[in-house]
Amino acid sequence: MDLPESSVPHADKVGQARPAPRRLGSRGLVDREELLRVIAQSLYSLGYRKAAAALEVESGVPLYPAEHDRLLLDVMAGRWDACVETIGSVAGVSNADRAVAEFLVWRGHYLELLGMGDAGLRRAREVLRRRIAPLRIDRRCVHWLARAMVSCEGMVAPEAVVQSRIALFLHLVEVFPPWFHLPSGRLEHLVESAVTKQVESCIYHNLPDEISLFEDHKCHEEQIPSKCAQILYGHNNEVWFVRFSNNGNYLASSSSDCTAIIWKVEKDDMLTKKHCLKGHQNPISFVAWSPNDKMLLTCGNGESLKLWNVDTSECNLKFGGSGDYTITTCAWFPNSEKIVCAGYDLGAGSSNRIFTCDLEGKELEVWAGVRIPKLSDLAVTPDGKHLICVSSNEIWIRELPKGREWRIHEKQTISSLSLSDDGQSLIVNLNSEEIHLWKVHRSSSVPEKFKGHMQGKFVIRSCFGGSNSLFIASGSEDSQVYIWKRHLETPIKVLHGHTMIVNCVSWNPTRPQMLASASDDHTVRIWLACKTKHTNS
Amino acid sequence: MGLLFLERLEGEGVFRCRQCRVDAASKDSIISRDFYGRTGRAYLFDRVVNICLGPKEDRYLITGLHTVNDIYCSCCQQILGWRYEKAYDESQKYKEGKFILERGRMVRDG
Repeated sequence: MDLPESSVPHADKVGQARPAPRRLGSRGLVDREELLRVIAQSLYSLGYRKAAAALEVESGVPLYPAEHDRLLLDVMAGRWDACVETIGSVAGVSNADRAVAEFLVWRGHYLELLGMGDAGLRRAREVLRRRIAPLRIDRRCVHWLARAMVSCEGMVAPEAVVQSRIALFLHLVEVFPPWFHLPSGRLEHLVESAVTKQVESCIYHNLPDEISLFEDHKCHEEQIPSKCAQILYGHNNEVWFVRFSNNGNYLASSSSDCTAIIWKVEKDDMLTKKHCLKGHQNPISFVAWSPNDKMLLTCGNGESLKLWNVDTSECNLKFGGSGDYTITTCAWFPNSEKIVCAGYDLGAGSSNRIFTCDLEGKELEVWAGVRIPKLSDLAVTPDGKHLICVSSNEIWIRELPKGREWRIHEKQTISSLSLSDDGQSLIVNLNSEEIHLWKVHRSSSVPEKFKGHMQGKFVIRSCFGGSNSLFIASGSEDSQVYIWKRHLETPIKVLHGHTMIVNCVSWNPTRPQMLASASDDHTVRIWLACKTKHTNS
Repeated sequence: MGLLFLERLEGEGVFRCRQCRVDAASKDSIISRDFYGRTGRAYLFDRVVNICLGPKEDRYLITGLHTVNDIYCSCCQQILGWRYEKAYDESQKYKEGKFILERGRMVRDG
C-alpha cells in the first residue's frame, strides 16, 4: 500500500487526487501533522536545516505555528505590547495560563527598565502599577518586584538584555501547551520508550546486545543457560555448595567428602581443576570468596572456619572464635580484611553469637546474648553498609557500624539467603517451596514470589544471575535446576540432567551465559547458553 | 541426601528425637497432654519442626475415624507420631493440622 515516494515532487497532482490521511499507523493513533512536526524538529536538531525546511514546505505543516514565530520576534525586539497581543491570540490557552504569560512578559520589561538606572525608574513604576498588579498574580511576586526597585535585585543590565530575552522566551513557551513549542528531542524520546518497553517485556533478555531499530527486540530462548556443556567429576560424595568467584574466573565447590575444589574457567568456557583443598574433618557446608578473590573461607559442618590462599592452596588459618563455638555461616566485608561469622555455643546454655574478626582470627566486635537468634544465613551488602541475617522466620537487617535495624517476618521457615550483586535485593528460600524476593530498603510489604521447584527437607540454595541480575536460579529436590525471570512467578526454564537433588546453583557474574549447579549425584554441571553473540554455535 | 535443613528451637523445654537428638517441638506448643499413642503417652502439639510426612491414611483411633499422616524425624527417619489431616466427628475438628508426638520417642531438655 505504501509505495516508495519518488523524488520528483508531484505533490500538487496527488494533493488534488486525494487528500492526505489525517491519521497514520496501523491503529490510527498517530496524527499526521504531529508526526511531521516531530520529524522536522528532529531534523533540525540533527543539523539538517535544509532538509527540515524542505519538509516544512513540501508537507505544508510548519514546525511552529505562526504565533510562535511572531512571539519570538516580538520578545527579541522588545515589542512588549505586541507580545501581549500575540499571547492573547493563541487559541486553547486557559485564562490563568495567559495571565502567567503576560506577567512574565511585563516582568521582563520591568527588570530591563530597572537595569537602565534612574532613567527607567518612573516607567518601571508605571509598568508595575498599570500592567502587573491588575493581572492578579500571586501578591508576593508583586511585592518582590516592588522591593527590587530599591534593592535592584534581579535587574537586567543593558548588556545582558539579549540573554535575558532569550531566557524569557524559553520560560514563556513552557507556560503554553506542548503543541505550541515541542519539547526538545521528542522523536528520540518516543523511540527510546518503545525500545525500552520491548526490552522489558523480553523474557530471555540476557546478553546485553545492541538493540536494532529495524526489528522488534525479542531474545531467543537459547540465550539463557540451557544446555549442559560440561560435567565436573571431582568429588567422591554429595556436592553441597558451589560458587563462582567475583571476577568469574574460578569456581569453588564443596562436598560432604570433606574437601573443596577450586576450578579454573578457561577462555572457551570450559573448566579445569586447579586445586583440591583437603583438611577438614567434617563435610563442608559453605564456601565464601573474598571480594578480591585471593582467599577462600570454608565452613565445616559443626566445625571451625579455614582460610585458604587461592593461588597456593595453602591453609593460612583455622579459627572458630573464642570458646567452644560452632560456626554456621560467615560473610566477607568488602575490603577483604574483615569477616563476620555467626555461631552457637555447643555446650549447655546454647547461646548464640555474631562476631566480626580480622584475618588473624582476632575478634573485633561481638553481639551475643538473649536477643540474638540462631542464624541460618548471613550476608554483607557490597558497600559494607548493611548486615543481613536470617533466622528461622525473620530477616534481620542492620546498618553498620551502628544504626537502624529492621526485620522482615516470613510465615514459613527460611532456609537460605542470597544477595544480588548491587546489594539492593535479596532472595530467601522457604520450606514451603517458594522463593521470596525482598528489597533491602523495604519499600513494599509484599515480596515477589517464585514457585515451581521442590523443597521440603534440605537446604536448597538459589542465586541471582544473568546480565543486570534479571534472573533467579534455584536448585530443587526433584533434581532439576529452575530459572525464573524477575517479576514472573512461573519458571521460564527447567534444566534436566542431574540424577539427584540439586543443592546449590551459582551464576557466573561476568559471563552471563554460564550457570553451575551442584548435586547429590557427586557432580557439578556447567550449563551454557546455546546462542551467544560472540561464539558461533 | 543433601545438607539437611535443621531448625533449632529456642527456649526452655525443647523436645528432641530420642535417637538423633534433633529438635522437634517446644513445650510452649503443647495443646494437650492427654493422648495415647502406640508406645504409651503422647502430647498434642501445635508446631513441630524437622519432620517429614508419610502418606495419608484413614485410621480408627480411640476417638473415632480420622485421616492421619505418620511423621518421621527428617534426620534419622524414626517414626515419632502422626499428624491429623482430617477428623470426621465435629467434636474432634480441633485436632486438624496438629501433631501428636509420642512421649516414648522424645527426650526433653530443660
